[in-house]
Amino acid sequence: MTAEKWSLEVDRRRCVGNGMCVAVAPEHFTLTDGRSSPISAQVAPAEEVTEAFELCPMSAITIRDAAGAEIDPTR
Amino acid sequence: MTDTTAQFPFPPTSPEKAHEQMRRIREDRPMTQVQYAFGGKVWAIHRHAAVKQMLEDRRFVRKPFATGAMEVPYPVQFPDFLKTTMQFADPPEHTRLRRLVAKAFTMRRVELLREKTRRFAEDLLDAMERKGPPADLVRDYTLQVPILVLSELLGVPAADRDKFTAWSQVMLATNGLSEQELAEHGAALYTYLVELIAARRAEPADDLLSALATAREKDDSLTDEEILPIAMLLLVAGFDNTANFATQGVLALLRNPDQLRVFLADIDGVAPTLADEVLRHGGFALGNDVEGSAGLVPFVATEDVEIDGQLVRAGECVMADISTANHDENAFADPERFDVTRSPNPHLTLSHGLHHCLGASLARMEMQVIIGSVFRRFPGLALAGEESYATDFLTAGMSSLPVTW
Ligand code: HEM
Ligand code: SF4
Repeated sequence: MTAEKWSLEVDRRRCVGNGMCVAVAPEHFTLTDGRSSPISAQVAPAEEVTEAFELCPMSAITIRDAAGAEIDPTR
Repeated sequence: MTDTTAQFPFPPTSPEKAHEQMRRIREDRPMTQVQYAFGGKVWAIHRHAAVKQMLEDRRFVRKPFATGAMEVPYPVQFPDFLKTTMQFADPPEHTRLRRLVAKAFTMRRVELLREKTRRFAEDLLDAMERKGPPADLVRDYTLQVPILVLSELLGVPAADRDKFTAWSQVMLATNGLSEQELAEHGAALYTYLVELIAARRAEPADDLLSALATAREKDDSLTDEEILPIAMLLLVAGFDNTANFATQGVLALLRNPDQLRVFLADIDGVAPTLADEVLRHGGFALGNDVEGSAGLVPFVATEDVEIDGQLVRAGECVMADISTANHDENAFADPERFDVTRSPNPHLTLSHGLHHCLGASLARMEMQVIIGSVFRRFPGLALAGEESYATDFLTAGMSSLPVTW
């Protein structure tokens, strides 16, 4: 893992608002109108974010590296 | 209620009349307070937006049902073991329980199971073909695939699958077993799972039971008493429903030849929207009578909450009447139409919010494979008799569907 920033996105069409991401990473995700969105789009790599990414039932959370490429930190 | 012709619940009636009745109910009021044989009164919410609002509002909880402080208002009683599971838990306990298994059910993980699921389906279709028509599609096919997939996921060894399948069917009313046989099968399943968990704890494999057996929380591993209800919940929630909706999908297509033609023209392309349309509307597309009855598992209001102009008082129960909400013209264009290409399709059959079905991606994938594979193999699939229904269980599913090809 590099020390660079991750950028976070939530696909609000896929999100079912079950709040799993907010429960495991309350500093990174919030529910508005029953859907999740990242609190800040750029974050330092964090274990809670990885867990939210992995636990989201709809796999609606995308993490990108600084170059904009999608990454899967669980691999 | 101001419109006296808009009663809820209402008895079985034709799909056309049910649509009309549901439309009147939604126009008349957002919810109806209903009295059930068990647990008493509950507000059944009928409008799509109001149902979603309730499911997103954490002031509605389930803990009072889990502790036994209140009985769940419902036409049937819920088994006690369910009340120790995530289904009856609120955060943070709900998060803790769901987290233990959630990784196995994400969309990405489920996609990895699609090929295996297809192979299970093909093997069963091979067997049906060898035996020749007619066949009971439920017994020989739609019920078997979800059980095999769940065995795969949990980590039941291939050699034990037949035993496991037989025991697991105690969860269903579709097997015609006696009380005593049910009890014996239930006990055998329980013992079997305890042994399998012990084996996996000693020698973990890449499956869900191993993950549970080796999961650590605050340096404690989970006990059998914690793992067993989770496994049982997955069995109860996991295959009866899936088998039933997959069967409903097959029958709905056979009864709607125009939609079957659309599907056959592009099976893989249409399967995803078909599966969701069956979840939304399958019960109405069979041509059989439908009724206005119970919805999803209720919640209790922890304080006074107003929804869509109706005050729900602290301590009162609410329930999502998804059948009526799934036909709300404010959420669906031409809600009375069975449209296998419908998109978007924000139906609530897998719920929404905190308790949104853990197996949603799995159920969708299985329905797509089950319905897709049988029509690819037998494009001329036809009914060879009337279907029958189980009436005496939580999920009153189809118990047999005679088909020929
Ligand atoms: C077509 C098939 C299915 C349907 C219609 C369905 C429907 C639902 C619904 C409506 C809920 C919410 C219940 C509530 O409010 O308490 C739910 C929850 C649940 N479902 Fe499914 N389900 C299906 C398949 C599956 C499968 C295949 C599994 C897993 C193997 C599964 C596991 C669960 C679990 C564990 C919950 C509880 C989630 C929670 O409380 O957080 N379901 N399902
Ligand atoms: S876990 Fe996924 S589906 Fe649930 S609220 Fe977060 S982004 Fe939405």
